[in-house]
Amino acid sequence: MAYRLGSIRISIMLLAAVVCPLGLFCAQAEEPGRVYEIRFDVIEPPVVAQKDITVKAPMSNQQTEPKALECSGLAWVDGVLIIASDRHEHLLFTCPVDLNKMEIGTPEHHVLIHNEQFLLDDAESLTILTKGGQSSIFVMCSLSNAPNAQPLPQRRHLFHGKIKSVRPLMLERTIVVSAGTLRQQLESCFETIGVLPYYTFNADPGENKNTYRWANVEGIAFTPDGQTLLCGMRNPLFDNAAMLFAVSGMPEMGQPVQPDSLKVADLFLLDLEGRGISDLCWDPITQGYLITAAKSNGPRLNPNSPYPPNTLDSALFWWSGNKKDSPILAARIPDMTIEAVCRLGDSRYIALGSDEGDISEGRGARQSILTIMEFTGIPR
Amino acid sequence: MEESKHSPQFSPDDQKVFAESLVTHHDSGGKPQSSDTGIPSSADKTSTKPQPWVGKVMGHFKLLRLIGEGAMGLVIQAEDTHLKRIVALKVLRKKLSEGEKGKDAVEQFLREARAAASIEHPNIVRVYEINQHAGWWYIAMEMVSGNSLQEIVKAAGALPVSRACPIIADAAIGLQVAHELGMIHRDIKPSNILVTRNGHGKISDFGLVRVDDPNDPFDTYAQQSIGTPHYMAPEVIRREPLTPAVDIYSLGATLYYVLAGRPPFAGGKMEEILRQHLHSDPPDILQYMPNGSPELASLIQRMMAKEPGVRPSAAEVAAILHAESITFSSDSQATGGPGGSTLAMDWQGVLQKTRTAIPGSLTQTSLRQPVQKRFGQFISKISTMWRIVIASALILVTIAMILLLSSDGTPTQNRRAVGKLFPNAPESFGTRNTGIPPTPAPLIEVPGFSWKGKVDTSGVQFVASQSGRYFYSIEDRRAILIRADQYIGYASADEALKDGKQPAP
Repeated sequence: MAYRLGSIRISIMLLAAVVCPLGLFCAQAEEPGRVYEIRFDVIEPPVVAQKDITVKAPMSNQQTEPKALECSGLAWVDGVLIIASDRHEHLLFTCPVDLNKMEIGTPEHHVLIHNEQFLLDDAESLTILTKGGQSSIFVMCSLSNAPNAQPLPQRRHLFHGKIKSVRPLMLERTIVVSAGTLRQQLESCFETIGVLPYYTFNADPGENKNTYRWANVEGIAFTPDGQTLLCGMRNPLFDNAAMLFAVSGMPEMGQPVQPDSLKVADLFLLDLEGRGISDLCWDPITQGYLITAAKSNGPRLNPNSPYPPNTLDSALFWWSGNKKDSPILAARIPDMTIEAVCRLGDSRYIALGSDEGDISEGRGARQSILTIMEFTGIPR
Repeated sequence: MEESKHSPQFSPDDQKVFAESLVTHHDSGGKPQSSDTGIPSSADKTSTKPQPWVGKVMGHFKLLRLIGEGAMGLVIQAEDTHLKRIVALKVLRKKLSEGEKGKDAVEQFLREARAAASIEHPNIVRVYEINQHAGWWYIAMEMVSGNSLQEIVKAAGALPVSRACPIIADAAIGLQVAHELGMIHRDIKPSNILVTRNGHGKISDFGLVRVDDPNDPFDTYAQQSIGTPHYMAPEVIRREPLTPAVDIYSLGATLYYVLAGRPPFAGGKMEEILRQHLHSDPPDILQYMPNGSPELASLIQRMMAKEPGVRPSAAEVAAILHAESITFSSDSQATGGPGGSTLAMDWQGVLQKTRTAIPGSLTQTSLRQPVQKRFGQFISKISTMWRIVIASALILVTIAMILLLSSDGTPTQNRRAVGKLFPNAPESFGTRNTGIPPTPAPLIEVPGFSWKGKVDTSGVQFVASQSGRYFYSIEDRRAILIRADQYIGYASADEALKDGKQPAP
């Protein structure tokens, strides 16, 4: 009998020991709303359109071999979607989208820089600043290390131009400046707080296929007042959180960017469940930031592996902009590699762009999938 | 709902354009357009070339769009105008069915249909009907909304164990049923395993099936090395008598492909690949998944054994793979997999019925016991001392978790360091003072692309999108976002469920 009572007591203790932490854990893990699941080739609410928008264009003025569009940034101006490709070093694409019929057209490329030397190499982010009815476009390279960046420093540039027309895309007062000064300032921050460098896999021949890339910026967005540029980094993570930095000294409308005036004005962290930022944009409809995030495909454990499992686990978050607020998970996108997001004007819809190919992983197929979904808030 | 009555019938004139279409699509060197014989490719699926036969009716099937094509014919998405369900219509090329040789082609075509039709199983693509219309033979099959394993791996790379194993286990269960009925599929490969939107594997394409029937004179492949080189068993290459073990070998090679992202044997020439199947062991799968389990590697080695008698049965493969997928469930935090695969641990009750017990391995049966029962068994088996140790450990864990959770909001050392970098930086870069998320604005106007107001919905209670996973009540506001060109209407929820849709969450 005593043995039985002892067993019961132990059982109660065990039960309490299991239930208490589980209860607390569950309370913490609860998400405020439902989470959408967006998938390749599934067009159902909230997704209203999806299309492979892969087209080819010369990758630079020097290398005219056509390469597939690899979507890295999106912006919407006057009914036209503007697309940056991280595989193209001198041009942007435009793609018509009929929001009424929800038909996605075929992208066309527009050469913007005619004398480039890798000026838009690894152009990972794109944003628009509109003031007084006039729009300016900003394209930023990743700031990361190119595997073969000699003799010119690559991936350090910020492109800026006033939009003259979007059909076809024509800019005026275009200028490309070095954003290397931002990298230098960030490097100092990294050293202060102990951020470790970032390595990633590159299949080019050589002994060490896991190469030092420093870090990479994949999303930029102006704050609603247009004074500050927020930059989101995909890699590295710090304390398992994504890093963002704010840049002050952005030019007045119509004025050229002055590299020396660009200052890193803040560096802070956002919890994206272990993911880094693959793009972000200010969303005037929900009065917050839309952030697409994905895990790193970083260094390879086995460099002979043809390519690793796709566990990048893309997701869409909404963030108020307040540093004390955690971003809220809005959608999981497990089988696409989402690299870009933007609101389609003042409509109910946002666009998500994916880049499914990676030249360093030796995949033959290149595809950029454009997904349009309704998003006006977090469903409950 | 009476759309078919107004749809143009497949007239003799249409036969001409249909034939031209078949010829046009096929005459690219006389080779199939897809990667493997008879299998639709992604390129086929995304083809936007207008087809003159779209909208015509063949039998009681309204032809909707080309899914893919191969040497034998086209696969077309069609609507059964009687049952209002979407099917995949496999249409035999007419020129193949003409003349004396045509009889053999038709018989082979019928063999495939009969073989598949004789199995009604969730892991095998169902055949609804075989018929001919104006001289065109066709098979109406279950339309699987999803991708083949080949397409998934091509698009997403190698799959993690937790995603790959349940799909291959499904295929093994399907194979077991086929084997029990005396059938050998003979062409198991990634493109012949389809993955449904809810993550189940289904075997398709019984075009090369061997039926264990002495009265089957139409097994034209009986004495040939048939199959696909990357997945072909040694005894097939040697043209030896075949057993169900050939399918196990091919399934093992398929599992290898899914986990490694490449077939087990590579080579520039087909002879090179076949030679390796005959004489070489496949490279260790663990080099592609360093954290993989030795049991899984061992299973692949056994499945791909040169000696057919050594290979495990389909039931054993299914049981071990299911145990593996549970063991590795921790690496699948997201329940979804590439290509629409959403993992469900529940096995539709099928595995329990079909599997055999594996001595010493984690069995499905034991895992299916209620947690409390297993916990009770575990507790009853250990000594009191161990119970106290475990209880103490759990209490310590509880205290640690409470401490951890109560410290929520206190920045770690790293975060404090980040916060000190720019002490004068603003707290907010937005316009909201709090992080209260926005709630969705109600959708009032019907979007221009919506089905609403464009289709006859008399008798329709539920609607869905053709490529979607869910069905919605016709009153559900979310349903307005379904595109008109994706619209499907159902008279009942049962009908939608039978069509493979799930209730909208």
